Amino acid sequence: MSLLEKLHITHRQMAIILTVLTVIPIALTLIGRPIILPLTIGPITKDFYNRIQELPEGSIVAWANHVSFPGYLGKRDGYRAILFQIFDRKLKLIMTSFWHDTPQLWTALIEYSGVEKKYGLKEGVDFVIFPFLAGEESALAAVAADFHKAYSTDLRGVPVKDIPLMQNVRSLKDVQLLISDAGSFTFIDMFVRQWPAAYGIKSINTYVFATVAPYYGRFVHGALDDVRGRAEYESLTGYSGEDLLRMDSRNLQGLWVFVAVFIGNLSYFYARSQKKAVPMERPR
Amino acid sequence: MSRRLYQRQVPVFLVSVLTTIIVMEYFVVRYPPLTAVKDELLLWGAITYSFVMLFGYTMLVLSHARQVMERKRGRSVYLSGIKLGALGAFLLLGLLSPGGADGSQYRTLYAYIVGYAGAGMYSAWVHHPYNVYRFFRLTSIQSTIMFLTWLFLVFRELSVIVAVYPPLYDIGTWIEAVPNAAAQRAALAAAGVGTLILGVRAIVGKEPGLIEMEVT
Repeated sequence: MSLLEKLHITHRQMAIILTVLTVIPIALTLIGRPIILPLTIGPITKDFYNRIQELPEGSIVAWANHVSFPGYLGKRDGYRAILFQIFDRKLKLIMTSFWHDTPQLWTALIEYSGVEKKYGLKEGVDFVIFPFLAGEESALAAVAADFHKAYSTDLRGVPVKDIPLMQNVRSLKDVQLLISDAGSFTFIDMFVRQWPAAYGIKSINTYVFATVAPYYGRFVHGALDDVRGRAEYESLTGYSGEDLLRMDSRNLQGLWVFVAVFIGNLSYFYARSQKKAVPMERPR
Repeated sequence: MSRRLYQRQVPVFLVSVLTTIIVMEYFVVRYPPLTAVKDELLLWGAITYSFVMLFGYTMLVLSHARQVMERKRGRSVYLSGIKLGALGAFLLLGLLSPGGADGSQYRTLYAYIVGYAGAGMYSAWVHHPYNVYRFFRLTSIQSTIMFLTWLFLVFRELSVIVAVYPPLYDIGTWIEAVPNAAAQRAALAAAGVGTLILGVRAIVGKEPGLIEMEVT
């Protein structure tokens, strides 16, 4: 008999208990009593911040995005903080889309962040959104080689040759910093091959550090490591958002996970010491 | 003209020529006329991909339509029906709402329906703490090593733990930057060598490949 069976707890009840415990910080936030736990800012987040901060006014930043709209909802406050830092520095931003609903993400982000009102920006002059281009790696390479050939218009339907921001931007040779984010682990490899490695421009990343670790310091020079990275960045820039609250959930969830692992192993070794068959479930 | 010629030899020849140009331009020669050819080819690639996507969507719709027309009424029939219904509804919204697919009405509906349905899908991950209870048992050396790697990465992800003992941040980062990066590079190198071997086998006729197997 396993430990849980002795305690008369079924696996289903255990799953429900852990789920409820994980939701506690979210519930506390909803009733206006968020738990604010300590947060240290790591070097890769500082690198990310510094790469934007060190650009001279008027520099061009190109952002290759491969994130879907539902994925964006979990990242929007981190993205908003990035836009704020970019436009605080008076930089220009080119937003490209390599996932089919990424253009929806960009328009929602511009609306959500309110940068047009906050900084008095104009689409086409200070930033431009390009429509989805299919083909992943070949699309990345085509855009990098020539924006004017790869796209006929921007998302609004304005011909590329008539967009003021694109007058002096032909290819990535005219861009000073690259940003990437992805919805799949393979996109980063393609991005590194076709953008920073091919054109010798520094890039920063907003996905998961593990995916860019092999390129860090050579092609990628700053990263926001998922929720933790975005929370650190929001704290560093002072543009607070949901990720700071999400860190509380993660902290508590981590503690419940440790408890679950401890009970799981206790149960396993107890059953083994009794020399009884240990029920092992296989991943489905 | 035999089927073999247009189903295998012509496509393989075209892919070989195009790949050679692109690979040479990337790794070996920076010769402006070759770069111009490569840029043009990439543009054709992007256009071709758009048609491939259109083909994919068409096949998806046809497959679900076939499912809906099945006589036997099962769960998959209803799921396909919902899929086709959602597709039709969004198509109508895009065509009929003010401003079309770029209008604020369509964008708002898309954001609230697709965005939150997707977020609901992600919320299924909430059961993960329970999975660790089931699977992170120290039953072997391999599972113990995996557990320890996971443990130090999770320590780094939890700001409250790092606040108590700051070196845990650097240990987690080291695991990602050194052993993880090394493993990824090894995997990439293995894939590269494997691809080369496949290529050589194909050239000497020892690797039939998918196209050959599909030649009828």
